[in-house]
Amino acid sequence: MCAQQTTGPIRILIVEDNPADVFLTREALNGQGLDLHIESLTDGELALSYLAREGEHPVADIPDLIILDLNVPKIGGPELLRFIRHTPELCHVCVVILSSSPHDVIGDAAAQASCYIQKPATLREFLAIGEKIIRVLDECKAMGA
Amino acid sequence: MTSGDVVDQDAADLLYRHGVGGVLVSILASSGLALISARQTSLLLPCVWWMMMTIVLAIRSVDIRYYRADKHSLDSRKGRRPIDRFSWGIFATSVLWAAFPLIFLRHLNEAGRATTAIVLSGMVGGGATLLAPSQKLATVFCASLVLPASIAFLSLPGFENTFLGILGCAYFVVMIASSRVTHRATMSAVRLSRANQALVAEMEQERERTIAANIELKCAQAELEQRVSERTLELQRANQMLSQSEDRLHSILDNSPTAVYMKDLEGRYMFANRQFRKFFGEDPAILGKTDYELFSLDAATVYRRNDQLVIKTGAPVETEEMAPHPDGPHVCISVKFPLKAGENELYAVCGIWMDITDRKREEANRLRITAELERERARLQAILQNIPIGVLVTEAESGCVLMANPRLTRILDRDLIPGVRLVDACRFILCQPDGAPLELERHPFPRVLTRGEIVTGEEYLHERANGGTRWVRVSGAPVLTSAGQVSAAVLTLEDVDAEKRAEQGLRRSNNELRQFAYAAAHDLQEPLRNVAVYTEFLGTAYADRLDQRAHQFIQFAIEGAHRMQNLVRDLLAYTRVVDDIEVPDVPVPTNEILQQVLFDLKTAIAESGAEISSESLPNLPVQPVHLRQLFQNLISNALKYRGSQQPRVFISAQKSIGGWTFSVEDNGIGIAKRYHEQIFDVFKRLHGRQYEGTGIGLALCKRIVEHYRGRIWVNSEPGIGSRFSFTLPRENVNHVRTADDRAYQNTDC
Repeated sequence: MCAQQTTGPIRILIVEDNPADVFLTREALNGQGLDLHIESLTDGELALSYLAREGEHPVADIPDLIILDLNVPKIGGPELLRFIRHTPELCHVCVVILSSSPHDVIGDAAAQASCYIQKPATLREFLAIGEKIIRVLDECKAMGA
Repeated sequence: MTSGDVVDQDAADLLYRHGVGGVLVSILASSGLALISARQTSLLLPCVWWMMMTIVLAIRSVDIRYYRADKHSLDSRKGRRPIDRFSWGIFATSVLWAAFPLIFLRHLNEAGRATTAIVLSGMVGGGATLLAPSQKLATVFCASLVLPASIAFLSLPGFENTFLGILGCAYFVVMIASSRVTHRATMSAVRLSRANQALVAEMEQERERTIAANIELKCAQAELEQRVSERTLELQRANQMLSQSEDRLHSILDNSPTAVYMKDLEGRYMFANRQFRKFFGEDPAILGKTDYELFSLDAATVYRRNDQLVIKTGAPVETEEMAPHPDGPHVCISVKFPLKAGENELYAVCGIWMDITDRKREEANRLRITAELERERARLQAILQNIPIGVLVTEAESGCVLMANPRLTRILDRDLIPGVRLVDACRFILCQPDGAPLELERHPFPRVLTRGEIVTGEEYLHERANGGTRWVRVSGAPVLTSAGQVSAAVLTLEDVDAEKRAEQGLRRSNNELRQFAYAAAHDLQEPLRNVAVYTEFLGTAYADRLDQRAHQFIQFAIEGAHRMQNLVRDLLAYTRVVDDIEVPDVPVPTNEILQQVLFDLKTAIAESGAEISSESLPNLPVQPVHLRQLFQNLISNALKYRGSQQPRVFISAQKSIGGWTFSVEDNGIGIAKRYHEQIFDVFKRLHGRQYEGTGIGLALCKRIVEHYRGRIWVNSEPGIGSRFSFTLPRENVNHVRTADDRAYQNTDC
C-alpha cells in the first residue's frame, strides 16, 4: 500500500519542463511557510524512473504531492498520471495538474488527478496557487486517513 | 245351314202356293167319301198309322217352324210371316185331328170310322203334301196314305167302297201327276230361286263390297282429314316459328348498334331499324320515303349512286358515307347488298351503317397525341443528349439498362448499352470514398431499383478504366407504377471530381490552418505568461532599486503582454468553435445561460451601472459554451461601448423561419452604417485604446452563428444605439451537417 510519511518535511515532486514555472511554483509553495522538500524533474521519463525508483533515483522517497504539467517532453502528463494511479504504492498520492491550457481543453486527462489548476497569467494569482495546492494536499490526507 | 235346307224351304214355299187347291180338294173329297162309306169299321191299322204319322208331322212341323223362325231371324226382309202362321195352323189342326179319332172312335160305326179315317188320311195327305219339306216326301206321304186307303176301299164290298177306292187311286194318280208338274215347277222355281239367290248373293257381295268400299272410302277420307289437320297444324307451327323468328330478327335488328335499312329498287325505304332512325332525331316517318326526301341533295345523290351500283352489279358494295345526325355529320362505314327473291330477281337493297365517328375522332386524337409525344420525346432526347449529367434508366423487372446518355458514357469511360444487367455492371462502377469496394446493398443503383429508395447527391469514387479515380455524385429516383411498384429507376451521375478535389484541398488547408492557429495560440500563451509574470516579478522583487521610469516601462511591458494574452485567448476561442461540434440532443434553456453570463459580468455591470432586461428565451439545441460566448461578447460590447447616459441592455428572442432570432439591444454609441459588415471580421476594430478589445469578439460571434447555419447582423445608428441580432435553428444542426462532416473526415483519411 502507499507508504504514507507522517513526520518530517512534506515531499513534493514537480514535473515541469519550464524552469520559469518551476521557479514560480517553488516561490508560491515556499511562501506558505511550511517545511517542504521540493524535487523537480523536467520530463516524463525522468519522473517515471524517479517514481519507479530506477536509474538515478534508486532510493527516492515516495512524494506526498506531485505537481504535474500535462505537456512535458518524452512521456506526457496523462500517461504519467495513469502510471501513478495504477501503481499500488503511488495510487493514493495527491496529484495536482498545473497546465497552461484551460480545463475544457484538457478534458478527461485530468479526471484522475486530485485537482486541476490553470497557470495564472498574473504574478499575484500565480503566487496565490501555493495556498490552494497545500489545501488540496490537506484534503487528500484527510481522505487517506 | 246347308243348301239342301234352303232348297227344302223354297220347295215348301212353292207347295204352299200350288198345294192349296190340293188340300181343299183332298178335304172335300175325303169328307164326301167318309159320308158315303161310313159303314166300314175295320180301319184300325190305318188309323194307328195315321196317328203316328200325325205325331211325326207335328214334330216335323215344329221343326219347320223353328227352321223358318231361324230363317226369319236371319232374314226378316223376306216376309215369311204367313208361312209361319200357316205352320201353326197346320200344327193345331193336326193335333185336333189326331185327338178327334181317339174321342169319336168308340161311337162311330165301322163305316163312320172308315170315313173318318179316309177324311183324316185325305186331310193328312193334303197337309203332308203341303207341309212336306220336299216334293219327294210329299209324294211319299200321298202314296203311303192315299194308296193304302184306296186299296182298303177297293177291297171292301159295295159299290161305294169300290168307287171310293177308284177315286182314291185316281187321286193318287193325280197327286203323282201334279207332283211331277209341281216338281218341274219347283225345279224351275228352285233354279230361279238359285239364280235369284246367286243374284242376291252377288248383290249381297256387291253390297258388302260396296260397304267395304264405303268403309275403305271413309277410312281414306278420315286419314285424309287427319293428314289435312296435321298438315294444317304443321303449317300453323311453321307459321308461328316463322313469325317468332321474324320477331327475333326484328328485335335483333332494332337493337343492333349499327343502322340497318332496306330500300326498294326505286329507293323507297321499306325498313329502318332504331339505330337508323336515330339519325333523324325523334321518331321520324321514314318508310315509303326516298333519300331525296330525307337527306340533302348531295348526300341523297351519293346514296342513290351507291344503291344503283348494287342494283346494277348485284354484288355488295362497301363505302364510307357521311350521314347527317342531330349533332352534326357522322362518318359511317356503309355496306350495301342486294336482296333477291329468287335466283336473280333483285327486289331490294339492304344497307348497314356502322358509325365510326368516335373511332375517327379517337384516331385523330391519337395521331395528335402521338405527334405531341414524338415532339416531347425529341425534346427530351435532345436534353438527354446534351445535359452535362449522366443519365441512366433501368427497367426494374429485368434489371437491364434501358438507356444511357452520352455524358454517362463519358463519365464512366464505358458504354452501358441497353440490355446490360445493371447489377452486373454496377459493382465495377462505384467504390467507397476510401477506395474499398461498395457492397451491393449499399450501392445506390440497386437501392433505387429494387428498394425504391430515393438517393440524393451521394458521392462516390469511380474507378476509371485507366486506373485513376474520379468523384461522382449519384442521385436516383424510382419510377413508380400507379400501384406503387417500382417499374424503372432513373439514376443521374455528375462528374464532381474537380469540385470535390478543390473542396478537399480547401478543407485540408483550412484544417491545417486551424490546427496551426490553435497550436500557435496555445504555444504563445506560455512565453507570454512568462513575460508578463516575470516582468511583474521584476517590478516587485526590485521595487526599491528601480526608479519611476523603470516602473512605468515595466507597466507597459505587462500591459502589452496581457493584451497579447487576451488576443491569443480570443484567437484560441475563435479557432475552437468548430471543434466543439457536439450539440446536445436535448434543447438547453438559453434563459439559464443568459443568467450565468450576467452573473459572470456582474462586476462590469455594476461598474457601468447598466440596466439589463430580458424576455423569456426559448430552449434550443445548442452547445452552451457557444451561446455563452455569444451573450458574453454582445452584452459586454453593449456595456463597453456605452454612451454618456445610463446603459440599458435588452435581450429578446422571436420565432422566425426554422428557429429563433435573438436580439441584444443597447443605447450605446452606435455604429456607422458603413461599418455594419466590417465589424464582424477578425481583428477589425473601430476604436483605439479608449475601448479595450482584441477585434475578435464579433468575429467569434459570427463564426459561432454561422456554425449553426444562422446569421448575425446589426441595426445601429451612431449616438442612438445598436441592436445585434442573430438566428439559431430549432433543429439540431449536427443532423444536418453529419453527411458533410463524414465526407470530410473520410477525405482526411
